[in-house]
Amino acid sequence: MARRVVIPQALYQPGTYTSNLDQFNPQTNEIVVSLTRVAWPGTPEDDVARITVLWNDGSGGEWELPGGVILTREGLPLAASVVQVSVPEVASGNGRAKKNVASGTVTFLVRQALTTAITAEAQ
Amino acid sequence: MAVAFVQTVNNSGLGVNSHNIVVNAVAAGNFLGLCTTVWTGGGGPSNVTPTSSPTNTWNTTTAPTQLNGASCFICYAMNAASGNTTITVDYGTGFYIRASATEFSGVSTSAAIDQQAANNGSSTAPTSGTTGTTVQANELVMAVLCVNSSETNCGIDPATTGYTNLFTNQNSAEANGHSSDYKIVSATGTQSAAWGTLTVTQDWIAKIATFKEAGAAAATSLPLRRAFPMSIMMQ
Repeated sequence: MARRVVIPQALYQPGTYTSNLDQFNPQTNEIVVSLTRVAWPGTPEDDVARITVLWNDGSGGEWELPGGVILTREGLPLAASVVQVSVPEVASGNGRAKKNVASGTVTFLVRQALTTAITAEAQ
Repeated sequence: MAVAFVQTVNNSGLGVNSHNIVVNAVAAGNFLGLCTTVWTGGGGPSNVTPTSSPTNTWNTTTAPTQLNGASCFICYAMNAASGNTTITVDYGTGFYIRASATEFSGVSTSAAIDQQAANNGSSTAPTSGTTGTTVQANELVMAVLCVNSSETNCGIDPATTGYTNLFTNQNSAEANGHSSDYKIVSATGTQSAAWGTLTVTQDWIAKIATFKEAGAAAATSLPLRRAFPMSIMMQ
């Protein structure tokens, strides 16, 4: 396992794909996952995939990813869907502290075959 | 029981169709506050009611007027169920979102919402607007700011004065600029938030809401008792 996983562009058939991240240092603040949108199938109304990013305590985030072409504010095709989850913070003494998370899991559920390059990194 | 911060989980999604945020080990009876900043290409996001598993009753506050497809929202659940909690919000198709989900203890388990205000503008000085006077001294104040621009560094300062920052992201070019903040107050009064001076003029939308601490009874007037004169008989 590693702090950064880079998977070059590939065609993903429907199914579930998992990567694990660890080797965090005390400066780790978040996990960021980027998925390039290379002629994704369907339309923006279709949930063609789901990305889940969880810390080892079970907290984190999950997002449905749209098919087709998503536009930016400038009206240009969005090049990549990007998700980010911060290290949780909890009450500590009179203040707050980052949780001591040891690892994270990235799960990519593909519903319609699509092409993407994936970068997952603990930053 | 005094209001106290328990935990916060923050995340973002760029080009997504729904957004879940998972909070670990929520304690039964606690309060969950969700601050979101959203941009959609479909004319601006509507105020949506989150759902969650386990089931909690989610409430929205009055949505600010959206500005060029962007807005921000404060939603909340009182008397939450215990356990790992997945909170879902869905603003439509291909939206850009940043969110903080925060657990507090000591907030009223019913009718918690007290005062709120909202504001928007295009300038370098975002502010939330000013609420009405809170009805009780001990309350939780939550504020959220959305900056909508193509700036990679918006220049947001955490909210002032007396606030603790929950989540800040300066990159509006990637989703939106976001700041969510809170403070716990111990005196009645109006509430507002400001976020410093942005790098350049940008669109911004802000929201503030206050929530009552649990267990504070409203002041009541004691019945007026007539004092009877006393005379002491000395014998």
